[in-house]
Amino acid sequence: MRILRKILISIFFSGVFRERLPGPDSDARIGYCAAKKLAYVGYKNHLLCSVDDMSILNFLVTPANRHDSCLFIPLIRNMELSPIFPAIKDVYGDNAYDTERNRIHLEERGICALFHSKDETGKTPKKPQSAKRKSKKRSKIEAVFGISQENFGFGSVYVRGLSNVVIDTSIIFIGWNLGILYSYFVDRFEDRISLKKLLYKN
Amino acid sequence: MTETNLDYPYKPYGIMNFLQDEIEKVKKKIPKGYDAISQFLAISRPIIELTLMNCGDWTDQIQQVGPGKPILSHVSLMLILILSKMRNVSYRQIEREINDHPSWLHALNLSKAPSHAKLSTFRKEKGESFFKVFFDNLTELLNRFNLIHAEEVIVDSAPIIASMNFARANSTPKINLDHVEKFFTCVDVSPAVQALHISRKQKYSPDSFIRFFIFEKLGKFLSTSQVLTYIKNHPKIAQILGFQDGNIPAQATFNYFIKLHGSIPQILSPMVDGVTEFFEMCEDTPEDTDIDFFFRSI
Repeated sequence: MRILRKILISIFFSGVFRERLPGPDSDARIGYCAAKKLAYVGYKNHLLCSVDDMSILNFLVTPANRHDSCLFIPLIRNMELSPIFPAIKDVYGDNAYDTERNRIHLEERGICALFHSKDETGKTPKKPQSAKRKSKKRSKIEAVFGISQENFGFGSVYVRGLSNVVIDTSIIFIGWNLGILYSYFVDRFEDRISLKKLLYKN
Repeated sequence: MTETNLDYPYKPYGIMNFLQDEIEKVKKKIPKGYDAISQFLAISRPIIELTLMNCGDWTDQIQQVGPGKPILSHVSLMLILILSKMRNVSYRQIEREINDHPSWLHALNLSKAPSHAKLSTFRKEKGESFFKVFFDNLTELLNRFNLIHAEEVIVDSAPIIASMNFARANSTPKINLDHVEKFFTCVDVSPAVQALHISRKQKYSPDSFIRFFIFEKLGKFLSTSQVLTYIKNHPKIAQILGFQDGNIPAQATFNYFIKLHGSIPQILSPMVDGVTEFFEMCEDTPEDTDIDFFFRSI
């Protein structure tokens, strides 16, 4: 008994049994969302979706401190082997993606980069016509984020660690694309992004 | 050699035809009592099954031979994971909801919903790459059905706020003052001080340092800085440890002490006998494993 107690106390001194309280997520980083004017701790989801049918083509999850422009090439490169890639003709995005490196990368692959330039950004853009035209297309992705936030709880997670957040995000987008496929099979393609109509109305 | 004339169908029978036929079969078999979610689960089943096979997961195709616990269908597990996201509920909640809906259980080919722990284990076992490959395969399937028009694409990013409970992470430990007082009056720290071989007079007494380290370790604090904050807020504890008049050393001083005299377990090793004796003598000593809670009131 005495020996056992001795061993136990030695172990306690070594700090092996230190209680692990649920601490902050070690992979999460501080980021800033310019649109919401929000500084937050977490991750950033980089998404590529089609304009016409709002299906999600690819995504990447990174800690929130990574800039959008750096993740564009990996996002496109992941898709290069996919049979969907050759169909891509135009890529729309905000001015964060408008870098020379990104433009060259797209040009080399025969894709037109239609990112918002500095002249097309802000409350009073210098080129209001083209800014409006691009914004109209780009606004579709905001609907994807908004609907997935409402229906799938996208935007916040209950898990910790980058790997778990990637799995969580994958399941959300699997659910999104599965909804599209399901709506096709039940002949209700117009309801493809409305879970309310698909799942709660017979 | 005779030539065999095989009667091939005129149209090539591919994955798309197979999936369409399977879904039509399912549609015909759907009972009238099925609600929209049960229908979704039943019709999505062949899609998930095919995508899982494309990902190299053939678990559902293997027939179990012999005794043993039956393998839980991976298709059902995937469907439940997706459903929990679609309903935006936790795994515990989805488990309850599925058990409350017999038609969902029927659509999932289950008699009882798998436990939330099983869902988490499945996620963990499959890992990040599996779900990414699954997503890619499903997207490819969408493309095969000509449901993706990717001439124009948009790229953007959105924030994902991390799960953090700052309130719990920064919670202060609750220390039992009486126990601390009793412990440090009974336990003599001189064996550890003698082992340090300090000849010069120090600003802070080495006894206090030893007491501080014992307090940190047995109080199960997360870090030295957490102990420092605690004793700054509780002057009586600081007094018991030997830091009089609120004169508490900085963290750097403790780090320097460790650097000079070795690691904390090394410094505290001469104290093991004394501490053991104390716990044996003490009447209200908790048994064995409860030593770590000795200082804590909860």
